[in-house]
Amino acid sequence: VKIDFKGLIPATVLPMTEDARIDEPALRSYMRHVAQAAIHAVAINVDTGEAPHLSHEERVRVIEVVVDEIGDRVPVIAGLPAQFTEQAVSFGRDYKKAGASALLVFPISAYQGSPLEPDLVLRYHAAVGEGVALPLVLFNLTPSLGGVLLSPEIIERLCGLAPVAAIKDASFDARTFVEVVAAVRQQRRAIAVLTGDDPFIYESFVLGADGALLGFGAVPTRQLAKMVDLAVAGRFVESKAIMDRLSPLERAMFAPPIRDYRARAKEALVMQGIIPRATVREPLLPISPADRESMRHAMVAAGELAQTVAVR
Amino acid sequence: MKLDLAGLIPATVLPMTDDARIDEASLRRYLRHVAEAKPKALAINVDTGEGPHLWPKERLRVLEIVLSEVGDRIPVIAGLGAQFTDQAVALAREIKEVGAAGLLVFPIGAYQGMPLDPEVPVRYHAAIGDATGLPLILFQLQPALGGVNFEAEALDRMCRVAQVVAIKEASFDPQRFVEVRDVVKAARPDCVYLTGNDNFIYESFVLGAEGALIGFGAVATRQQVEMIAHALAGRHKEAREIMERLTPLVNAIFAPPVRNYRARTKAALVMQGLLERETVRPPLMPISDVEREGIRKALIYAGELESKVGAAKASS
Repeated sequence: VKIDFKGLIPATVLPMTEDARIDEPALRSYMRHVAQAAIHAVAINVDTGEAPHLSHEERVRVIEVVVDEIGDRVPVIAGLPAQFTEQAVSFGRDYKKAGASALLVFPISAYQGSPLEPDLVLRYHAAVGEGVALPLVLFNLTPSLGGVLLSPEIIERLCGLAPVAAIKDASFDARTFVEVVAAVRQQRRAIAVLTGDDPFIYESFVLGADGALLGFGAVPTRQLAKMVDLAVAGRFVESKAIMDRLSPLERAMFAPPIRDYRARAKEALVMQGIIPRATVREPLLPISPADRESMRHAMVAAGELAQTVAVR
Repeated sequence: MKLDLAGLIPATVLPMTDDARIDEASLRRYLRHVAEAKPKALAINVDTGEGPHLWPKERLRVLEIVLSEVGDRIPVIAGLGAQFTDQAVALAREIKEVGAAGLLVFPIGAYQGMPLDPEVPVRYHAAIGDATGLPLILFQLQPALGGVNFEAEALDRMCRVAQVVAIKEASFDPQRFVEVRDVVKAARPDCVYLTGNDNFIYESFVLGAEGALIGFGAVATRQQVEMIAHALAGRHKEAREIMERLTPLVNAIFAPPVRNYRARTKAALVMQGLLERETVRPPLMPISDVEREGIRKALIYAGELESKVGAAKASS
């Protein structure tokens, strides 16, 4: 499946049963709902989908279920969280077998500590690319969320690897984003820059983003897909009008502590009647009633929830 | 067996074969050597032992080998690196089954992002403690190495988790080391305060450390056991003398980029004839000849390698 990155790729949540296991029927109906929006792929088994808190076998099962439900219509990008090279290759092969169309390669703990030798990052991605033979999405993640910012030199060299198809920037820093765009544009072939920068989603397109891979896409999927499509088409005024309506919801969902954004996204989907419960798996905790109320207000303001529903 | 952690707890390296598998024979020989220095305990399957780069089954195998080789003489603390609560509990149960004396509980990804609700780390540790009853060592690791500096309230409540017996403090910040000491001791006077700060090992004892759980303990183990014994007995002059001899070696091993310290430690042990090869598992990479030479000089300065041996090997 060839992925057209010029649009929205929502990172979806994983509906869970009351005892925090995968809720397969709820996952299937939520996926059908998400697939109705004009999305270009879905990103599963990433942070939004609580992948760090799933066993490898569970991640494989999530891929199988999602591919089975919407794989005929929507390409499925699977997160690849691993700890070491051999494990990444082994996991990646399993995800390919389960039906993933591409892998989002998470930073590994060996990147921690400066300086980061470019060869270490390069070898890791090269091994995954060769060993799995799927398109790869690079991941530039802010240190405050456990990632490492890759230098322009490293990004340029990574873009030289044949399987690399895109990069998700979640530096949360506009200047870094511009540097990433510049580094990617050095390449002879087209590599997509995907914004993962929740604080400046709309602005990312002004700065040169090709598409968006966002956890925020798990909730107002239809509106966000429209906003991205308009931005990609250069219709910035209309695009910004949608983003302005969505911004309070974005801020409510990603308010500190940011780890709660998964529970908040699920609460929003419960309010909409799209998933049955907001359960997250420990160590994540449920959110407070106050947090839930601020999500409800933001959902109403975003036009994602009718006022009457909110009162009831 | 009551754990006595007041002293050196070396985090040991994991000798590997040419294809980066566990080298069991070398591991056994290396452990016998370390055990001769009579450390208080051993810490295995932590970063120094490439724990994050091993399959869960390999970690259990390492634990089995270590216990069968030195378990009758030395308590073995196993690193518990997990991602979520259920997984940590399952891994901890397996580790207990094999026979570890305690667990060093690594920070998890969910701690990232401020503020950290103390409930998150408290419940995580309580779940592990309740499920296994094993003694737990808390671990504060600086953010630059992927960890989290906990707020006072979180530390206080974590120390009160029943099975907690010690904390390894590795903020690499002396001021924080003192602040954390006060929080820990106020919450639980019996919680053993372990330094993990390779950048001020001796000074940690001036600042209230009661032991050291450090990767540096993987080399020059005997000298560090002695240094810490002096420091704990208040013989600071003697302790400082040893530490001054060892300082160039610490600096060489933990020079940036710090991730290379595992390969560098193995290189030092190869020079001493205690290990057969420096192999580390990818994504870690081999070190350069320049790094190797720096280590050789520091080993000689530390009295850990004879000058002649160094010259002979270098020219061969």
